[in-house]
Amino acid sequence: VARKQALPKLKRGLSAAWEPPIRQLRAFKPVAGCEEAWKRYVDATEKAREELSVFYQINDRIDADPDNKTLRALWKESGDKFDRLLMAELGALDKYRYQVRHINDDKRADEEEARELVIETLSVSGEGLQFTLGQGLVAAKVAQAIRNDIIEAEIIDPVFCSDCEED
Amino acid sequence: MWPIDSDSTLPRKSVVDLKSADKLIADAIEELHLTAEIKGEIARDVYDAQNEATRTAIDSIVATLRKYATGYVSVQLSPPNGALVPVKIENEYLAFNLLYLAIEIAKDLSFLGIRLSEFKFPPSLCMQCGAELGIPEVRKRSRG
Repeated sequence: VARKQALPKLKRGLSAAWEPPIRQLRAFKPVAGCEEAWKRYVDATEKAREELSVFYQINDRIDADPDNKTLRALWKESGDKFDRLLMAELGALDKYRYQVRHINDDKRADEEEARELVIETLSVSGEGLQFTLGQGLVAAKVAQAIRNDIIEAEIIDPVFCSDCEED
Repeated sequence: MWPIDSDSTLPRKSVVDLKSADKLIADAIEELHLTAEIKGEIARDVYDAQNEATRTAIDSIVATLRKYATGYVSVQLSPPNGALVPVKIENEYLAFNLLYLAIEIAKDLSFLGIRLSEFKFPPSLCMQCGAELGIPEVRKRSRG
């Protein structure tokens, strides 16, 4: 028990030395386009630190009154809550880092838009091919099959023969 | 009344001259096979020009279409006014048609600003009809 109580104190010392204050985090200028994710991270960090300070306060009170069972229950509850908030904080940081890493990636195209285009192609180029499902459903299945492979991109220099060029 | 001349040498249509339905269907199937072969050839050229990831994406379209294809094609006997009948086509020709359709889907998507993986239409073929282009014929234009 003594060791368990000593740990928060040690953590408190380390935390003060390592973790930058919230105002410093808020002043940080995140990568353009990822501001929202950074804000979520800072908010989550603030909540976690608030809970940590509550936890430390209870810990100090337990030091003064070691036999108080209510305080011990509160201590455990606060510790569990802090664990959850810490996980949320780290998750938010991961999301921000992921967003920064993938900021220049291609933008995925809308599946619904692809479905509508596939319906059109099936009706124009299908040329009598019969399916067990209606065209709309077949198109939905096709769009679903390729949804991870479609990105928004302009076509570069399409080439046509002289006959098609005139159309 | 029109004068009827029994000795007229004008050709007349008789029941004997009309093609039987079986013959019409056989003709339609033959034409379907021929068209499918040409389509398959064009589609294969485009397919071969793609990289591995794009081929996989095209394969998934073909697999989806094949899953729901009945193997029948509606054909019109003696168009434009003939009857519309379902005709069973062989798997080989169905595969040609499905690959062609998958390529058409990829092409149409790219026309409207959606690219399937890294799909690129070969510059040696016309993007509209798939005809082979000679170098002097190559012309470019962009669509909105």
